Amino acid sequence: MLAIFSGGSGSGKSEFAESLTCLLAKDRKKYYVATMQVFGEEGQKRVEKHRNQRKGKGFETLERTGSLQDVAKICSGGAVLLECLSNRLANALYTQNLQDPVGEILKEITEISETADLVIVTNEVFSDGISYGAETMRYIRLLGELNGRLFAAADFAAESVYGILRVVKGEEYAHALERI
Amino acid sequence: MLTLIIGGRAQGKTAYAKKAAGAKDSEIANFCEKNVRVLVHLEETVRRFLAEGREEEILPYLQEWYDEGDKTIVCDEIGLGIVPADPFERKWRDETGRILCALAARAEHVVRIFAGTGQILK
Repeated sequence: MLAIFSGGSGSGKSEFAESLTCLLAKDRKKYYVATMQVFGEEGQKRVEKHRNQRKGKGFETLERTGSLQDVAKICSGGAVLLECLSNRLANALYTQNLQDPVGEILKEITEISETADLVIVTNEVFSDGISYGAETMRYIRLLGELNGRLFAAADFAAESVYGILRVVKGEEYAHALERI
Repeated sequence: MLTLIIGGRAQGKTAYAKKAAGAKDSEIANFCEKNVRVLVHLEETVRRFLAEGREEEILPYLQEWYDEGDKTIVCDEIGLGIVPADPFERKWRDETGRILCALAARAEHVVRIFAGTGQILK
């Protein structure tokens, strides 16, 4: 099972993704794969905020600021919340310097979703109209490609618009979420 | 009744809000006051409060106003870009999103304007 939530800053996508992961997991194990590299006090505060949000929901946290290749095995049979794809791509580009970041990431995701229920959080970074340098423009293009490929492959895909779900596919999961 | 109108820049949000609310130009402003029926550029209000370290006061400030009758709030969707390196800029986008989540939950109607067309989200 593969589910993906997108949305802008502060759009409520993480909350939805957590709820769906809990819903899918039932009494199986829940894993939180954190991809953000934590810098400074503000980064620490962000981590705290997300930790508090997850508190009491029984997630086991895996910090992966590089490859996710061991996640499929570790999380086999459980439910995985991957937060977030935008940081995963940044790590692939700027820490790992991967030749084919999109291919590698899609491979990792496919493997995880074959052994576990996988819920991905991604980011809408495409509409500020700013022309960035070549590196950032490449990042935007690759994230757009990843989002498109994953929305196409997913069983459930939606955008969170300030706490309102715009479902692209998988209405049945949206109905289940509404009942929580 | 509260209506929330969101969307990108220059999509016709204010024109849509004016028509939907039947508001006169004098009833449209970027601050909350009794005679104002349409509050535009909420993101600027959020930024102003943030700059003064008063983010906790934003929702009460808005509520005091929209509880007084039929009101419409218009906001640019500023959180749909590359996450900026500057902490204040990041916080502004996050905080605006958080405020919009609270308003969307409270509002009777939420409309996203795309190329002048209203997409009813709620």
